[in-house]
Amino acid sequence: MNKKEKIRTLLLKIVLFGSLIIAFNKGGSQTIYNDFSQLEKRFAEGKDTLFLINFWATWCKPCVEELPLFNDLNSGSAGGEKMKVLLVSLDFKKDLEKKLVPFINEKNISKEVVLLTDPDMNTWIPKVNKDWDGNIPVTWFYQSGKKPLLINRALKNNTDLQNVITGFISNKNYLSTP
Amino acid sequence: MKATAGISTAAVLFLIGISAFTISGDGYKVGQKAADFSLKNVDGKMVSLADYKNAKGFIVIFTCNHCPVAKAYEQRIIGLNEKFASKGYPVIAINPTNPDLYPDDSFGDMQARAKEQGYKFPYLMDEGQKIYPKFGATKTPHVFLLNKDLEVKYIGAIDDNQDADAAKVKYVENAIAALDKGQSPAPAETKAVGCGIK
Repeated sequence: MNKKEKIRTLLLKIVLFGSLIIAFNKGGSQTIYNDFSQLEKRFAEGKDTLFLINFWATWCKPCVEELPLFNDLNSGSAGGEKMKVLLVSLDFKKDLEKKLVPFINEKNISKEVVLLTDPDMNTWIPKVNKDWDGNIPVTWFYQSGKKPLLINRALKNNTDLQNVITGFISNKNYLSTP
Repeated sequence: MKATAGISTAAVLFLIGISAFTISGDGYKVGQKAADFSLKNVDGKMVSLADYKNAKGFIVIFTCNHCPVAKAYEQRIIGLNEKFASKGYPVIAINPTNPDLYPDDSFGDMQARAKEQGYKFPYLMDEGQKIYPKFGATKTPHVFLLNKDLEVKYIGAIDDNQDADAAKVKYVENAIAALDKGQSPAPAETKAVGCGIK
């Protein structure tokens, strides 16, 4: 390969890589976390933000059915609280371009999607909730200074989701066992 | 793409500290004795654990046809049976999925899958979904290792990585090795992502 070809290959790589980033960012902002601590860092940076985290995957049928509920949430859903919705995908890393990005574009997902690829599940899953086995979908509420709440089921409809959000805000985790 | 790095130890400790809220479900815990069952195998015959007179234990795995995570682990399930059935620890695969919701998990599709992949272990249908709630299985794949007295000795994942080539710790193999020496497996429980059972 001569110098000219090398430069051409390099430029091609830059263009290809650039287009991947653009594709993955269409509609909303998307992020890849290869370590759970990156999610925890988001929490720390968010200060008093209420984080609504939905763990899902394109291969999970009930997750896909439930996803529009989260995508359609507006800022008023959390009353006066500042709320951040994070759709944390547990798709296989190899399926990012083949499945996840096309899904996000096709379904017009506007909320932030985070692809979490941390393979050490036995370490990070118990950090979410020690009684969570790793089944999805689950929805996790996190706010600094509050007891996190894990909803270990699919949300049925807007009312169900709204009740869960209101329950977390008012500290009445009515759906939980004592 | 944002690539934030670094571990926020304080945040980790904080999270562990306040995640005491529990959602504990029913089902067998490590140390409890499982009840035997009688379920239909892909060959049409009913299978019970009591049929295995010489077993030293059982690798009960809730798995299914449709779940990509279960598929990713399928060769490892076959491998476990190859390695341990002759040593007295057969794989007993149970499909807990409702085939009305997932047509890929019909009895006919289970038979086809077992034949295609050459399963040398029973692949049982949890007809009416009665057995998986007793175990407390929540997802596929989900492993319950029992000793010969049907006491639950290990619950969780097969190993520590969905990618077989990247797996470092083989939880089930280690648990069987411990059991075989008369010891308690450590860890006795592990967590991994799987398809919620419907």
